[in-house]
Amino acid sequence: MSLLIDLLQAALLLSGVVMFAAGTLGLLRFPDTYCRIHALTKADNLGLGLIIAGLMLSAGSVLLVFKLLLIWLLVMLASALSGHLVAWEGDAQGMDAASGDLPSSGNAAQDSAERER
Amino acid sequence: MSNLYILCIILLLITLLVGLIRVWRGPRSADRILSAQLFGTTGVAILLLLAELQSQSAARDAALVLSLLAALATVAFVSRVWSNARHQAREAEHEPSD
Amino acid sequence: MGNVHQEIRQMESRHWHDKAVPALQRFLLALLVWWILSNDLIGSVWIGIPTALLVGWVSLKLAPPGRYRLRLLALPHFCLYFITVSVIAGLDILQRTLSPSLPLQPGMLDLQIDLPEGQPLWLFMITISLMPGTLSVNRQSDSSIRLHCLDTSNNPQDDAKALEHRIQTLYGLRTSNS
Repeated sequence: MSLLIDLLQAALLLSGVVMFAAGTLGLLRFPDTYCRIHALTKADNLGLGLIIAGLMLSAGSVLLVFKLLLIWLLVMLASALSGHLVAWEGDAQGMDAASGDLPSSGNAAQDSAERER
Repeated sequence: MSNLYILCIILLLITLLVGLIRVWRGPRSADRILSAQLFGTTGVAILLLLAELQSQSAARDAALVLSLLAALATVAFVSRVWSNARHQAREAEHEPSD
Repeated sequence: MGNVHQEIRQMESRHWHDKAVPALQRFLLALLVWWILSNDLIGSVWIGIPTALLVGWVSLKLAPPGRYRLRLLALPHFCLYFITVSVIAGLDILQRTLSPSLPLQPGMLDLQIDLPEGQPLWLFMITISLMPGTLSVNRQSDSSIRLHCLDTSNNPQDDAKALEHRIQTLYGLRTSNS
């Protein structure tokens, strides 16, 4: 029984790591800012959820389980909100949905300056 | 079991370091601030594993604080830095001499 | 006119009750969080209870209770749905990042969402960002919501509508027979 729980924990923790790797890979491979936000928020939240589920198996006390759940909830809220904020500001600046380019009129100089920085 | 924790921590640290490439390459500051979010979530996972590995419950409190700080960094960036750039660009647009 | 006065009187008669119940709820919630964070409620009760009182008061000032109350009975079902959907979302990202051709068809989608301001709409905005292929971007002036979709060919509006129905059920805004 204990072996079974250990195996389950190992599976959960390692698949959590895989999800984090997918998030990072998405951050690097996806073509524009919006898509990168998608990769980060979704993959990392599932990754953290899996790791927390794995840690819960060896938590030993109900209070610790609640604490881990609280941390997950908070991280989820924080990352969904920050992803939303970055997307919101991108949209406000007129960042194109398909290519992720900022409009060329008006703040092209600012855009290229930012790209070079 | 502790070997598994160490393995997971090392792998997570590697994904974190690889994620830094996005900070380096950008191209926009918005792409760079995304790595604050990456550090928030991955850092929380690493701290939780460390807490379990070393039986240090204080690391869990640090994880909580880290997640809040990462979110605050993004909020501060969007509301202060990035949207300021937008307003400045708009002002420059309204001045015909520029 | 008389109707309005009657409504105001009704609101005044429920005034006391309407203030006490949310205040008590928030105090208990803050105390629960304190208990979870401190690991030891009894030992730190002298700091915990004043802090919980303060937190409850501040949260009432900053975020006054809305008109819409969560149905606690519908909550487990919603949580289960949410967990399923976020697992699918993560696997979706995994599959897209690992495939060499990078199958993305990003685009914006403006969607009319029938949810009231406040808690229900916020819950929608947060949850939709964690669902497969959608990210909440903005609330347009005509009360529609702008979503960024990873794959516009994948009917993302169906997922959004499904979530809208779930949240309506969660807040008791629709009859739950469907």
